[in-house]
Amino acid sequence: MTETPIQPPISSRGSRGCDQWLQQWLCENLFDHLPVSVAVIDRERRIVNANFIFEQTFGPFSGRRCFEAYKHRSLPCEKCRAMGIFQDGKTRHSYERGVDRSEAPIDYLMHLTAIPGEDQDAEVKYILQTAMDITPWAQQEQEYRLFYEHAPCTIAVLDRDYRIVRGNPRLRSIFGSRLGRPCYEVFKNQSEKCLECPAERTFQDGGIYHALQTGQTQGGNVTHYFVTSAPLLQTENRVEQVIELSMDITQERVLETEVGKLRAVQESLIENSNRGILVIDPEGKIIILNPALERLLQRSKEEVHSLSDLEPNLPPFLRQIIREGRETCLLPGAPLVRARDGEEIPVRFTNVCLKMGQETLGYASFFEDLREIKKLEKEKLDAERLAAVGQTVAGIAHGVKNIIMGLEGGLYVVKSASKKQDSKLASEGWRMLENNIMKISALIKDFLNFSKGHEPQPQWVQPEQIARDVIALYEEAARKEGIILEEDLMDGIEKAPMDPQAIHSCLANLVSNAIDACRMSDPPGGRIVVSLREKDGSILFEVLDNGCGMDYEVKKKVFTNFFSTKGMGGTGVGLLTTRKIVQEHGGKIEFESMAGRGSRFTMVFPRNRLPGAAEKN
Amino acid sequence: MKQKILIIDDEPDLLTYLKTFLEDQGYEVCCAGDVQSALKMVPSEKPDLVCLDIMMPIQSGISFYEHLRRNGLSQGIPVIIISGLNEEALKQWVQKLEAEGTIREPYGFLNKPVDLERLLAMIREVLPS
Repeated sequence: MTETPIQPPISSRGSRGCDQWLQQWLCENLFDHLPVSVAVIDRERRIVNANFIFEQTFGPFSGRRCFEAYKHRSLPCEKCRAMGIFQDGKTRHSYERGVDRSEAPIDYLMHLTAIPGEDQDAEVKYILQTAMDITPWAQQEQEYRLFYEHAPCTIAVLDRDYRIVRGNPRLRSIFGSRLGRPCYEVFKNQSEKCLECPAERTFQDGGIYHALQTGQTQGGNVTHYFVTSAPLLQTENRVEQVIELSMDITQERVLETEVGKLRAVQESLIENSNRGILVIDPEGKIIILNPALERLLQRSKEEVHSLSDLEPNLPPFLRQIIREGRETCLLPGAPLVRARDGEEIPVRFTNVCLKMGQETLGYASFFEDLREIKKLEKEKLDAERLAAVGQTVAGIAHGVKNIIMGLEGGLYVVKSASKKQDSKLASEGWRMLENNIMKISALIKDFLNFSKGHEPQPQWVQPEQIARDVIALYEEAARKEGIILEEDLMDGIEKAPMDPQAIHSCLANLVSNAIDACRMSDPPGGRIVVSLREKDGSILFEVLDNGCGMDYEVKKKVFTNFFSTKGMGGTGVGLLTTRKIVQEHGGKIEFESMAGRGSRFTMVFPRNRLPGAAEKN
Repeated sequence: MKQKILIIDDEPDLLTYLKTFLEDQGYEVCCAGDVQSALKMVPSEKPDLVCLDIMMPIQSGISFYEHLRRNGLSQGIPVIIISGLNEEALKQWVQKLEAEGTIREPYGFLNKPVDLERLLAMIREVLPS
C-alpha cells in the first residue's frame, strides 16, 4: 500500500453535496491516512482489515490474529480486553508492549472500540483497534524511572513553599518518608529556610545552581552533600517546581579530614624530627628536605632543588644509593656527610624506596647525626680505659704482693743460708732476689705500655695474613712442646681496616696463652686450632685449645686485673691489653673454658665498627 | 716427731721462702705447686696442717679446700689460707661456706705478703708442741 495525499476537491460546495462527497472520501481514504495503526478484528480475533501504518509497524495482517500480529504469541493474551468488548460493547484503553515487524519491542497505547452492527441490539461482530506507537517516550520514561529509583543521590521535587512533593527511595531511606514537609526541616532539622539555598535561586530565575550543604540523617548523623537544583515545572513566568539532586559526600569529607589530619601529623613529624629527612621523586627532584637536614648540612632547602645540588655534601656512593633507590641501612662508621663549613659528620644512613603497589613514588633517606653518640662512645671508651687502669692499679698491688714476698723470701733465704752456711740455699735465695727484681721490672714496663695507650693505626689488611703470621711465629715453639698447632682459615675474607701490629699482638697473646695451657695440662701437649671466619658482617679470630682450661674462680678473674696464673711466667697484662685493643677496634672478646678440658677465646670484629671503615667507601 | 705442714702455692719463690722459714722453726715441710699435686700428696704425706693459696692456675685453692673437707680421711686437717685476694673476696667465700653449712670454714686467713710472726703464732695455736 502506498500513501496517497489527501486531496478534497476545491470546487466542492454545498453542505449536503459536500458531506456526501466527504463521507465517501473519508470511507475510502481516512483508514489508510490515520497516523496510527488501525485494525479491525472479528469475534475470532482474526484481523479482517488494517491500515497502512499497521502493516508498516506490525507487518501484513492478512490471515493473522491480533495476538499473533501485536505480540507474536501463539495463544491469546491472558487478559484479553477484546473479549470483554465483544461481551459488553464498552470501549477500552490499555498500555501494551508488543513486538514489531522487525522483532523489536514496541510500546503502544491501545484503544479498542466496538464497531456497531447494522442492528443496534445485535452482538458486536467487529472491534476497531487503534494502536499508537509510544516506544521512544516509554523508553525515556523507563530511563528516568531507573535513574529516579537507583540514582546514587537523593532526588527531591520541591514546590514553591520548599515542600517535598516527591522523593526517590534513597531520599526516603536517609531522611525518612516525610513528603509534604519543607526541605530544610527534612534535610537539616531546621525550622527556617537556609541562608544559602540553591533551590531559592532556581525558583527566582530558573537557573541551575550547586551548593555544598551539611545536613542530618534521620539517625542523627551529620551528613555532607553536594546539591544541584534545576527547574522542573516551569510556566511562562515562573518556576513551579524545582528538582534537587543531592550527592552524599560524607565519606569523602571524612576521608578528606582524615587525610588532612594525617598530613598535618606527617608534616609536623618531618619538620620536627631530629633526623635529617630527604625525599626525592624518581627524577631526582627534591620534594622534602626537613629542617634537621638543613641544620646538619648547613644548607637551605630554597637553594637545593635536585640531588645533584647536594654534591658538595653527600659522598658519591651515598648519592648513588639514593639515586638508585637502593633500600639500605649504613651503620655508624660508614657514611660521612659534609656540612657547608667543611665539617665531616658521621651519620647513620637509611634509604627506602617509596612505593604504591608497583609504582615508585620516590625515595626517602634518613640521616641520623652521630656526633653526640660518637662523643659519648669515646667518653665511654675513655671511661672504660680509665676503669681498666683503675682495676690495673688495684691489680698491680696484688701482683706486687707476690713479688714483694719473693723479694722478702729471697732475703730471708739468703740470711738463713748464711747462718746455716748452706751455699746451695744461698744461691737459691739469690736466684729468688734476681727473679723478682726482673719480674717487677717487666711488670712496670707492661703497665706503662698498657696505660700510655695509643689510637689504632688502621690499614686495609687481609685478616688471613695476620693469622698466618702468628701461626708461623708459634709453629716452632708449639712443636718443641709437643703441641699440634693447626689452622682453619676461611677463604675469601676481604680486607678490613685494622691495626695489623695490634691485632697481631692480640692473636699472638691468645696463641701464647693456649701453648701455656697445653704445657700445663696433665700430661703436657695437646692441640691448638687457630681459626678465622666471617659471619653476619663480623670477622672472627678464634683460638681453641684442649689444654688445662680454667675453673670458675679463675675464669672470673681473667679480665679483671693483672691476674696471672703463670707463676713466674707472666705479668697478667696480656689479656687485659688484648681486650683493650679489641675494644679499640670496636670489637669484643669472648671466651669459654672448662677446667681440664680446654679453652676457646674469640675476638669478634663487626666490620661496620672497625675504625676508619668509611675511608674505603 | 716433727709436725708436718703442706704448703700449696703456684709461686715457687713463696714455697722456698715459707719452706725455709718453717723448717728453721722446726717443722717438717712439703710443697705443692698446684691443686692436682697437692691432692695426691695429702694421703701420702698426711700433713698436720695445710697452708693454702687461692688463685692458682687450672684449679683454684677453693676447689682444693672443698675437696679436702668432703673427704672423710682429710676433713679434720686444719687449713690456713694465705692469699693475695682482698678480704672482701675472702669474706664472700666464707659466707658461702657458712650458708651451705656443709663444711667448716678454714682455721685462719693471712694476706700476702705474709707476716711471718702472725703465721707462726697461728701455726702454734693450731699445732701446740
